[in-house]
Amino acid sequence: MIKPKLASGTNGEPPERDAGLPNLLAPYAEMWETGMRRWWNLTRHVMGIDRAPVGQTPRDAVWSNGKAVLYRYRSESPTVRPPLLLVMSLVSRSFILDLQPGNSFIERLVAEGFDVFLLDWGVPDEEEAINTLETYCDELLPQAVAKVNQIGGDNGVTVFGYCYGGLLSLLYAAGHPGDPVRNLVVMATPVDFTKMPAAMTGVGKGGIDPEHLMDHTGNVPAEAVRASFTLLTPTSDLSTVMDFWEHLDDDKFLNSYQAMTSWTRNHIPFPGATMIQTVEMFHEGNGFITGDLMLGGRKLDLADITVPFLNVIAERDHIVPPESTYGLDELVGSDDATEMRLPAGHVGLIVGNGARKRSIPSMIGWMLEHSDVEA
Amino acid sequence: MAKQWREIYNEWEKAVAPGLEQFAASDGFRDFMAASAKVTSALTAEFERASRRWLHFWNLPAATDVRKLRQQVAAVDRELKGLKNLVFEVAAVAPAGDEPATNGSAQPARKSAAKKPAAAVEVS
Repeated sequence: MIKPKLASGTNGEPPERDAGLPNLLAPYAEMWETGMRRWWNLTRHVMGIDRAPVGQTPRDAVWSNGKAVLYRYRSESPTVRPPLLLVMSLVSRSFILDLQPGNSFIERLVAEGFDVFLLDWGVPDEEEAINTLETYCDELLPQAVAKVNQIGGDNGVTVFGYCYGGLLSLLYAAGHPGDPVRNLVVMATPVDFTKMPAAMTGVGKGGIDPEHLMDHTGNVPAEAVRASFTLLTPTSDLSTVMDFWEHLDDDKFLNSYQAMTSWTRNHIPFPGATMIQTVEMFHEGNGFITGDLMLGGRKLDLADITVPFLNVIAERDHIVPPESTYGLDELVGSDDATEMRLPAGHVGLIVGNGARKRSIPSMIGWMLEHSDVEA
Repeated sequence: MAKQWREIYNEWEKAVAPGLEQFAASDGFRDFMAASAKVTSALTAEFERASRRWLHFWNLPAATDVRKLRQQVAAVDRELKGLKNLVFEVAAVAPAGDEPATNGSAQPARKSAAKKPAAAVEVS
């Protein structure tokens, strides 16, 4: 009896009204409709019915090595050269860069004419537990860059690292100055680890022994990764539930909520050996600032990065506070180094209205200035 | 009316959140977490040891045996991947033909292939 009405609500259309209903009963009818819609939305959320899809921009896998996969996003005719390689963090899912149609960083890049590639590290298990920074920066990243360069017609590559992916990109670029990197962009990337929140750097330095965090696979489990993020804002989970309950009758909200929570609650285990190395080199050694960076037995220097460089900083970032990323443009050796401060949070740089209106256009603007654009 | 509960929550959160965040960032909490992780790790290891002994007494495999097997499979996988990469390196050098091996042997010089996208595996 009520099914047709519920079905219309789930499509984002206003529920049907009985035109003949006396005005006296109208508020009750509205309450009834809202109540039924909340009930239906709660049911479909709990039962997993019609969940919001994520990562919808069409793409093809063009290369892989182990669990690392390089995707190329389909585009009618890319007009911007060189191609753009997005390097994801090791602990979070890459679909945040392509959250939902209309709210997707990658979709926007493709629309602007970029030839977009994404390097997804996959989910590590026993096999990846011994992966070190060398595995990522001396093996996988150089191979992926070479592949993108080859596909892009030997025009070089713009490497774009997000969060820990930015850290990997910096190490890679400093360690491989002869590689075909034409521009380097890092976004929300930790540099000065003494300014990082305690929950992010509590491992090592006489605190938690990284070995104690590892599970039977030899990796830091995803739950532990998530717990460290939760500790930054202990009430955030509860607030999210409150938001959910408050806006349960709003289909559009539920859609965004499901997409976001499927990312925030779904982290990736951190490869054990990389964790130990990160603790030693950055948590304890603060390598980027002290200059004590070793990779594959050789000393790295950020000054060896001489390509055009952009450091994107989120001014309201609570995971990688802005003060921990300031000054990176002075550490690299590029003559053309820019620090871009944007009024956004860690994820707000690429997701949401602020990203759509401000952050993404600013970043795209810089990349277009440093690329060749076909008319 | 409907949003009254939310306002109450917001007020509560505003009052409580800073204190909680400060506590979570404190040295005391960090020490507690370190001790807790250490104890959990030790207890887990002890429990595994005891249950393994008991299961082995009955000639039954324990989870640690399965884990050991998985680690061995992972090691074999890695080895295989390394060999596959080597094959790709050799294959990438071999067709060129005009590049003589420096040591005079039929083996291709491996160093020259080091910077190539050696382990690149095409995905169709």
